[in-house]
Amino acid sequence: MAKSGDMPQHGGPEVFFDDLNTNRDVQFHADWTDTLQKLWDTAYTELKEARRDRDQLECQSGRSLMTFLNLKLEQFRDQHICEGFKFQIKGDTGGA
Amino acid sequence: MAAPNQDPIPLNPIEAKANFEADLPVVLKGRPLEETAWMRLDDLTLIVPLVGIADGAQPDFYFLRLNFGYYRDWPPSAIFVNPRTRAFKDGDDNTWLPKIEGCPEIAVHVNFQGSGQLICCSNTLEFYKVKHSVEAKHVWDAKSQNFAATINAVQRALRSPFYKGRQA
Repeated sequence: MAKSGDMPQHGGPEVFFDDLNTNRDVQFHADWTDTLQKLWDTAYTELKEARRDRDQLECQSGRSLMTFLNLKLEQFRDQHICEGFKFQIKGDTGGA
Repeated sequence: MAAPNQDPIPLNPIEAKANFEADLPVVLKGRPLEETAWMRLDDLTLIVPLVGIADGAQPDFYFLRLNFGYYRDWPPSAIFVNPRTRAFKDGDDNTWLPKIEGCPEIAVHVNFQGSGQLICCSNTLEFYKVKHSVEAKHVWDAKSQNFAATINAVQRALRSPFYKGRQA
């Protein structure tokens, strides 16, 4: 049985990125051996945007993924770091 | 374009309205405004209901009033308001302000240095009007941000462990 997020016609899961700087989002098929960094880079390409210094990658829960960027997607799945393959790009702000 | 230590300059209202209306469908992800709880008060003013959740407490509802008179060279004006008056009066309306303590990205001041309410966050116009210090990477960037960044930053703080309930 395929796991949640599997897309049998592709062989790899579909991943979703939401840019909280703009509310623009993209989804595309990934390979299990893709790293989070590679997927994040692809998301910018799909969004037709460039990475900004302030940007950080998170799960939709808000958990930071900045220390997991070298993980392959299959490792990310197996370690249960977040539920599913829905990510968000958060731009941190100054203030306080 | 936004820059530290500069006085923000309002746009021609026609241009500001066009900028706001160009971004509105993007921020709403294609949903009609009528299907949301957002309220458009006039050409340049929007009220967005937000929810704060303190640890173990019932949700608190807030109303963020955004004005787009300087948008998008500068971020929208953003203040919390009393939903009945759609304005904020120091003293009478402090219950409509959230208490956010210790958050490195945002704070809410009832009256900042005598200049009124300040949501101290680099995604609000007031932050630049009071000439708050800011790192270059945090300066509002009209090319890569729209007013979703403002709403999301405030909403995020209201859902964070730094949120401690109402100010009064």
